[in-house]
Amino acid sequence: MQPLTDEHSAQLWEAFRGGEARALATLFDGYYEALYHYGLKLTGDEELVKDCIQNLFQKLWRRREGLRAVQVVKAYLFKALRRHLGDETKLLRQHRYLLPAYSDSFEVTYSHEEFLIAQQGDAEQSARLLAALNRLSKRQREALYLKFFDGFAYERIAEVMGLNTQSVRNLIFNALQVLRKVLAVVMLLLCGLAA
Amino acid sequence: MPYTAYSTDDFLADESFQSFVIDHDPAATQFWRAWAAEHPGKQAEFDEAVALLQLLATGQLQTLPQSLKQAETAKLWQAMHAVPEPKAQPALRVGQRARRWAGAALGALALGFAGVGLWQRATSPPTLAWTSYATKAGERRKLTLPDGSRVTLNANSVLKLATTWQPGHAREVWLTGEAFFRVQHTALVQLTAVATAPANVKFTVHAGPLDVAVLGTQFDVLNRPGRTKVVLQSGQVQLRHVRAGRPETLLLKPGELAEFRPAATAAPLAKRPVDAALYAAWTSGNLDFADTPAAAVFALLEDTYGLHITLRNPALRQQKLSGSVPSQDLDVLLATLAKSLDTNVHRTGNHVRFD
Repeated sequence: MQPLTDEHSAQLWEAFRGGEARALATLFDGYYEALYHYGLKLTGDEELVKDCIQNLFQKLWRRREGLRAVQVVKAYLFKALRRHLGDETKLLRQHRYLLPAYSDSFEVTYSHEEFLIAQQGDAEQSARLLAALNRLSKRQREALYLKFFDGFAYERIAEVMGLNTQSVRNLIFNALQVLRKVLAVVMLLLCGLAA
Repeated sequence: MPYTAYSTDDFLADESFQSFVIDHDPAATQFWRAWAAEHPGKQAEFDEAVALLQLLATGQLQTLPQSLKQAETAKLWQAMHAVPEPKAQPALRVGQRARRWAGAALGALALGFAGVGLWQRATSPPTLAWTSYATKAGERRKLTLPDGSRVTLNANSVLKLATTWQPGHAREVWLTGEAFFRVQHTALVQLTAVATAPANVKFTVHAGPLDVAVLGTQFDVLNRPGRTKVVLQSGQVQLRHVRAGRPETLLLKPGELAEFRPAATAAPLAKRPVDAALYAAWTSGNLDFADTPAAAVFALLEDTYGLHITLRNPALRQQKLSGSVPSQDLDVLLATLAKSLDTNVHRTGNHVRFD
């Protein structure tokens, strides 16, 4: 299906606030995958993510009359899901101390599946990239995820993560600098071998 | 900072540059192509930044199984169109139990959403089809549910359920009033422990504050204002009540009556042994006694008719009763009882006194 544009989403949001169930269902349909992957990146718990997304939308529906207009619906939903997941994992940590998987803060980890590069010879490069990505700070990893997997602008990443835009810009600037240096070495090595 | 002073890192972090490389945004692409042509001195930094962003843009997420999204869309849709049921709103209990039986009915709907802008069409929103069965005062109805389970609905009662049930999915009904259930076992393997059984083989009666979950058994559920009771004839029943967001459960054995007492805040769910057959007797319209202690009959009258019974002579409890009494008309029933017990009965509203 066509991805939802910000303008279309804003229209759907207004229709949904006016009581249009189908508009909310269209937003759900349009952003479900993105929300699911983001939630999974944050917590690694599929059931929890499913429940939180479901709860989030049902709550939106019940409270539609008290909601305000939003600029970028996708960012609003990401932020709300992040908060939901934060509350839930905090609860889980309190009640189920036997589950060490729930850490204090979100841990975004990149996996091989996400950087399977088709061309041969790039395997080493993608392995390096993956290793470098996972050595970045938690916040850098999350900000990069929101930038490159969800295409959010710095301003929206700031909204989702509860930071100011300059901090997000710095996080991403520094992260990309690290990645560039790691990959520059690889490229040099490859060039050296070829020569 | 002017672009001419940009390092590779500056290009990398520039949002307009990113939309050129990653999103192929037309305006950004046009701008950066032209800029690169005019500034050959920056070629190295420019190309390095393009290469790294392209590499990052190869990141791909695995696609989600379509069935998952369909099931979740169905769940949301159902919650948004929940039948106004004061005690058992599915919307309030997300994640506790899968409500998949609506899955297929709404799967088609989920597909319908695939087209953007479809919501704008003037079609009426699809709603889940519900069936309700209701009885008037003095009326009894025998029903067969989509899974073959049989229900006898007592007077002044309503049973609500989805019109179509998907085989292999959780079965759910909502009850106000009283009904006797003979539930079909649908599990392929012979499961006996309802507490550990998967949701898709369970049959759940939502009765006000209580959820009654079974696999395949015979039981009576009474859900009238201020009184919620379950009596188990055979098999196993799991009762579930959510209090302050926390579920409490109680397992019933055959011959036990469970009662929900909202006033007993410490332990609202309590059970005690009863003569279970008596509690199902109304389904035939006759109460059959065979050396039945009068105490059991008094308990039945209090439990199912909501009476308060006082006895001037406590020894009446020990008397045994035999025979058959029509259960439809309470006054006839009380008069017959009094006659058998060789005593007099006085009834004022819900208060009944045997002298």
